[in-house]
Amino acid sequence: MGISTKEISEVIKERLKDFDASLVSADVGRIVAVGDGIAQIYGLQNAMAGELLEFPHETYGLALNLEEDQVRSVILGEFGHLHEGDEVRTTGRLLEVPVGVPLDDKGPIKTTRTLPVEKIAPGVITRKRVDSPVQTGIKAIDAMIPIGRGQRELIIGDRFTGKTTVLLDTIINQKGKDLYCIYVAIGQNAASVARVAATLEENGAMDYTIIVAASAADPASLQYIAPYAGCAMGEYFMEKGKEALCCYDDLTKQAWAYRQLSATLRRPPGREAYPGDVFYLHSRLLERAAKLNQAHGGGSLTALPVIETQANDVSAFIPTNVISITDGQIYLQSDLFNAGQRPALNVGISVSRVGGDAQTKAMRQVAGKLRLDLAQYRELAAFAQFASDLDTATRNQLERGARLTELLKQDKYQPVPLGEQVAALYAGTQGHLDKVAVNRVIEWTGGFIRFLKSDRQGLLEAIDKQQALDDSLFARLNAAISTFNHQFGIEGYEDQPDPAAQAAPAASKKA
Amino acid sequence: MATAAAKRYARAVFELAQQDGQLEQWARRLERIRELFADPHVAAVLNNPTIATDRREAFVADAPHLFDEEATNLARLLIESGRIDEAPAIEDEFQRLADEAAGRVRATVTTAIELSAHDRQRVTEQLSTQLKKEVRLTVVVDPRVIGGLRLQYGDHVADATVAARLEQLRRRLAST
Repeated sequence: MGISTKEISEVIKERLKDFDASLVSADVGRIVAVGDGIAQIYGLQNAMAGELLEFPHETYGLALNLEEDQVRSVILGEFGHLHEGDEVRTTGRLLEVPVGVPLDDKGPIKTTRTLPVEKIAPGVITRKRVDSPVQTGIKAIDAMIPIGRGQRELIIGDRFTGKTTVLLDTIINQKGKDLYCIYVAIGQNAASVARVAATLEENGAMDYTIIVAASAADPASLQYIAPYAGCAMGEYFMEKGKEALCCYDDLTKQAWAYRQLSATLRRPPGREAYPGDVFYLHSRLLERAAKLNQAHGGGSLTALPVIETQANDVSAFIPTNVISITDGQIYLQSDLFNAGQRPALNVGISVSRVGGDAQTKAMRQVAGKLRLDLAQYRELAAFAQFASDLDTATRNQLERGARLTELLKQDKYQPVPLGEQVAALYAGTQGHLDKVAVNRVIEWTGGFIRFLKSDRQGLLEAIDKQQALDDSLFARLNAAISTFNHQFGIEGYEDQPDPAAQAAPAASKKA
Repeated sequence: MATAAAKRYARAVFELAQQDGQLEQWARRLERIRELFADPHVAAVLNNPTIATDRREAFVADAPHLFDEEATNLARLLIESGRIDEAPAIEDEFQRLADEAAGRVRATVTTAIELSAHDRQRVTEQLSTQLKKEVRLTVVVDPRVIGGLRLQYGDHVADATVAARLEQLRRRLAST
């Protein structure tokens, strides 16, 4: 690409036009010691807590410890070029990130607007109860653990249980919807972040997604700041009355980074060597998720933090902290994952404390009993391992449960739209799958959706649009299931034409 | 940088000096002690733990031409407690306390060329009217500032040098 010298001089002129070199007035101190990403600075009597400090060579730091005649600061970025005796200045500003809608694909974000990285969470007066859902496109979650806009739902599990996949599915499912997504990668290796970016790109999700990355190679200070920076970007959308979703993947690594900083800042270690304020580290971040009321624009920021457990130990320090902060958790288990149940969701101990308020009516209508059915199924399944002969009712319940479990399986990066979820779950919960062999349930589901799209046009769209099922939609669904079951070769079902298709010509005849 | 110990010694000396009305004398004594202890040969002997403490103390006590009586006592105390490295910090802290008590501010002005006596007077007056305190000005000549001046008092700096402006300009041009 050729750039003419004229263009360059234009740019320079533009920049020089309103250049006004003003007098620099600041507080100064000198570096006494530097190391491990921490600088010990003598002086800076008037530094504020959390103030941005300016080191030589355009390096910045954050004043964290204010002591009697020195300040300890974390250095944001590389620190190899700093020396003892270097001058440090206060800036009078807090740490900020640029926000706005990036206009171009890859270049730097062109915006003049910045928001502080650390901010007080919205108060009670400005909030509204969570009342609308974030459609994740994952059947098990949308049906049983609905996530509301403005909610904080924890995703917790061991390594390789599909935590990131849940996030990516959710982000991909927002395509063409009104939710801006922010994916914050903390302490992951750069290859993983690249893979996430590639997946989102392939699925066309980068049009509405921001990735904030502090990879494992970045200094601990950046890994500590990254979630707050991502949150500030989400708040920008929320304050403009829009809806945003912020995924923090994962907060365990952030806690590690903060532990490292605190240890090098010589703050006293507590349980598991975390500093005393590690709870506040996460609570102040997650409290910033909110649903604002109409007087404040009606925007929302949903938080999906991720915590990685070691050997399913949810009673470790950081998992218990974040469980208590969030409004529910999605618990992923490696044994379920290895048994082929994907997403490897443990329905029994996963909850959403917002509950049915954040579910569409259609989903409530078909999935209301699902959670209970599955819970009973698991209990019975545990018993049935010992029993040799079971009564019919129990056997039926076991059969139903096995099929429902099968119905909730889905492939990664293939979120299911609301209409398809409702149709499939309706068939499952109403017992229309009971005569389908368990190992053919996935095949049945795929075929049924294809059948609805080709032979019962308008049905899925109607459910998506109305978000509730009325008598006519129920009738259409029943007819469709009966016809498809007949085609699938299941006894006791017969072909039934689409009631809507009949009604329409009849109406036109009358007219 | 003043350590906690240096501050404690300085405060003790300062309170004693204030009580006796001997601030100026004590400032000179501290200066002399600092100068003597700064000599690497002297410090090597006084810091040497293989020489008995009383012999090291005798080194200053037996040389009345070095210090007067009060200064000798302080020097002996510092030798005995192994704090001779703190002497510069004690002097700095003492100066700070004395300045604070007298409502004085020490300021450093850095320029590329030597300031004329008249300009120096103007800077001093301007600053003292602004701070409402007596200003003691130290003048530093540093050609690297290119032009303008840089004023530092306490932890505060006001930078109006050409070097600082050029740096601002460089950043502006390099920014995205």
